[in-house]
Amino acid sequence: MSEIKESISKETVETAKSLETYKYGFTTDIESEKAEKGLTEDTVRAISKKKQEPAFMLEFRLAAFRHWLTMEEPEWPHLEYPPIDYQDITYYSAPKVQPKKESLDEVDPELLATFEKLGIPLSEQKRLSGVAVDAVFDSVSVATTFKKDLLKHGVIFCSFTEALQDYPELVEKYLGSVVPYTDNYFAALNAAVFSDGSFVYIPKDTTCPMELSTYFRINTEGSGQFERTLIVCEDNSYVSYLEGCTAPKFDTNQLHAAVVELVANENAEIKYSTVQNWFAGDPKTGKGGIYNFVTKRGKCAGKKSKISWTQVETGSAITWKYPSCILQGDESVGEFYSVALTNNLQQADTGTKMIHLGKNSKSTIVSKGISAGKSVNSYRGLVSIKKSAEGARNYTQCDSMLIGDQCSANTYPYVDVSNPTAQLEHEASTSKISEDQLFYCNQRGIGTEEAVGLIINGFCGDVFKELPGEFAEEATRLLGLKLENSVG
Amino acid sequence: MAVITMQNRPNKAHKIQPAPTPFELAVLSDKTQMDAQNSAITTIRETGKSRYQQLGFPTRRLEAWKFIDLKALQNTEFLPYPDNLATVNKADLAPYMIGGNTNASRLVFVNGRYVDSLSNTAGIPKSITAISLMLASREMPTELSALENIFDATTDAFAALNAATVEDGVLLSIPQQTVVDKPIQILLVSTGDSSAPRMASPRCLVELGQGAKAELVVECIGLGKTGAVQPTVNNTVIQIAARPEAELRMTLIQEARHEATAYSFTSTEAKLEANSCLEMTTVALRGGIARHNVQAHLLEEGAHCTLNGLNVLNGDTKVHHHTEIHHLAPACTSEQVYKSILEDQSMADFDGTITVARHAQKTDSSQMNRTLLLSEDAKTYTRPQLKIDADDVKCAHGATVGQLEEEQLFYLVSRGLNPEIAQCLLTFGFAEDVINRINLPLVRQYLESRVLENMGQSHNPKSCYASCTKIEKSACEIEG
Repeated sequence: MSEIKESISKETVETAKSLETYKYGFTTDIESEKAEKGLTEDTVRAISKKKQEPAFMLEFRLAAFRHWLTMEEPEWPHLEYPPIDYQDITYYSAPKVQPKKESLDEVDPELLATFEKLGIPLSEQKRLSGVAVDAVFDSVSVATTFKKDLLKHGVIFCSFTEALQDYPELVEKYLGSVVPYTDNYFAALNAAVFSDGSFVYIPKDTTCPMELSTYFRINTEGSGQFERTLIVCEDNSYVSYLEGCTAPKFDTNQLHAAVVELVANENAEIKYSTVQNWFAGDPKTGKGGIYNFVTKRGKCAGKKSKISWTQVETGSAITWKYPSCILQGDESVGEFYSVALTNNLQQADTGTKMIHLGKNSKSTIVSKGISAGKSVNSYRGLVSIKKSAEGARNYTQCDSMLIGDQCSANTYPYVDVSNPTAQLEHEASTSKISEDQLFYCNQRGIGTEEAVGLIINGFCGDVFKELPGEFAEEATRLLGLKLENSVG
Repeated sequence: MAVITMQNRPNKAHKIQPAPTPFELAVLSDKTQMDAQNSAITTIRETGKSRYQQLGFPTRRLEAWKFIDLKALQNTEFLPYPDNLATVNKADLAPYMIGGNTNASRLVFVNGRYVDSLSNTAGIPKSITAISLMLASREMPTELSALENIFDATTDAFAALNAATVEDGVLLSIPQQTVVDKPIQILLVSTGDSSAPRMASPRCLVELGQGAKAELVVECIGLGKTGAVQPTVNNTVIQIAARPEAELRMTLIQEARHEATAYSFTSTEAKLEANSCLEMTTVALRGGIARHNVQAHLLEEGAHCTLNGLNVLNGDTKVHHHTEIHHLAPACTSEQVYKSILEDQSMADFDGTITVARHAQKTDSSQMNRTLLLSEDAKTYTRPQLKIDADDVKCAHGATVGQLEEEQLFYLVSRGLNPEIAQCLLTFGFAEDVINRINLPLVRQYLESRVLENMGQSHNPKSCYASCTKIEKSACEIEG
């Protein structure tokens, strides 16, 4: 018994030590090819030219840029941050080592070392987990593995830049079909200046033989990262996509405005999982954290198609993110499972939109918000049943947990119904970790920190069980780390 | 080609003050010289006017007004009612007698002004102040101003407008430890007019002394006498101040039978002190476009607030409920149950917010919104919101939208009821859940009959029952 206790407390001490400074707060010294700061039409043209993009892409970018100029930054989120100077951002940066590589041996050893520190050694991952990793290191993909294996099955998994060269017709067909550049301020900005991202295409009747994964990293100081992901799943296909993020520590706020578009055709299923642990800023002053303004949306275009979003949001100074589903196909299914944890001075305004258009379309929303410290955690959601959505069904549950009396938890669920056959249920609750629960654990020799971890994991269980194996483990560890020293 | 840069980007922050709309020009035009004796009411008007000018006309860009279309209203010149238009007689009010009792305590306002001949104050105990605002302004201006000053500057543009244009209303003050066991009814009747669009702005101030208890039934009624073909606005404000241990039970009923477009706005603001209690039920029935704004401030420990609501809507009636419950002190409780039954092209919108201040620990609050959609063209919007800044609280909210449950219908049909009447019974039962939460049986029964009157033929248990066969009738009786 004492042995167990000793090991537990030892672990606690170690993790606490590692928490003192941001665990992944280091930078890699690789020379970046940087564009000048500022944003004009010329910047947009320069990005497109540098990437040797087809003509339609430049048109798309310019249209987006012109539209962006007419837009205003949204003021409705429950977020407070100083005004962003969009002219003080570098819109393009890429590691100088550019030539395509066939194997990991050709990759800059320093870059590989960075991945080692992050705990995602490509070589290990390749062998052990059977996951193809498209590591996006500061905007441009430098290593893509398992590509050949995937191509055998007809699966395309590559960087956006490559996709534009090799499969321009596919990109042209689907780009902006789910998130048009007119959608919102940050989506328009992304459409104008996005540097790279991932492209996935699963052909008809194909189950993607492995889970696809991209690790994002933001590096060069002051460079906003504008990723764009496009996943298309043809009829009767399936893919599971994992996205995990860590970022080095910097003093200036880093803007991140990504766009993710998913298209699921008839009977196709896309499972998209995220663990986000970007630098949240200095715990005391909130300085230096990432601003994360992301537009994620999936379209269930075909009959019986399914899109499932799972997210664990623990990082960033500001999270503004609403992974949504347009349920266009009859009997299509949309799911949203979310854990959003905020601590110290973090702010999160996150949730989902389920737009029901198809007959008998179904959606499930499970959202768990945990706020600690002086953070603000808001759930914002919309379930809209349009007139055509005969027999639509929605179940929503959003629970909040508050730790300490300096934080806030807000819930803004919108429900709009225009079809009488719809069935909707919405439930929400707010709670805290009770003294009884802690006492029960303490009594059995479980320290307060561990007890909190247990309780939080129980609270988030419904979401964690949706995560792929190794992600679930990572998420559990992450929450424990993030919450240390916030109770008692 | 010219390059657009951030520098020559049109500056959106600079907003041009919009020109006053026909609506604003008409209702805010300077009134004739104020009665010098009526300084208290003049102050209310001036405060209201400047507040309205700060707030401006509520556009759909504001979240709280998102689903309300007021374009037509904005372009209409609404005028105050002329003095001699009161054409309401006792027979017109017969359907609004609680328990059919013509002698019950009643204060009647027609088109915003107190009408003594239709009112009945004999039953109201002498210790209670129940006078028209006009009279109060002349006879007890200090008390009136003191009561007005309890309330902060309103956040609701129409409440500000009410103050700016108020002509009359009621001041009801129940002294401490006084218990009024019979309901007092306040009938706010508007008739509409054939010659011009009209607006009435009655204002009700209610004060309950320490330990006082009262039951109020406030009705905003559009009588819709024939010939009233011009649009009307009935813009009511109710302000409630409850001292420690006071209890107020209030039912607010709104119904418009006008032939032309009727707008009904009510704005209720309650300030609740220690261990006081407000139980309010808002019932919206047929007609026009209505918005009910209720804001309750739980100021001191132990205050309680119940806000219930019921919409029984048909035709193209649109009803918006906006509620705010502010938990500002520890150990306060609140609960909300809002239910809607929607037929035809009707629409119901519920926008309810609960806020819990940082020090309001041990708050217990719940909020529920249920909607029954009975027609293909009916619509509902629901936004139950929580804003919580304290950690030791229990807050829950929920919302459901749907149709009657198959299993419940099956149960009744399997016991010999015909499917139509089973459906009617369940629909009415859905509404009755809110009605049954009302304390006084007299008010419950009155409300039941008012609701039944408003249910469409196909969902009305009474008319369904009438068309049943003998056997089916006996089945109904067994099942109650």
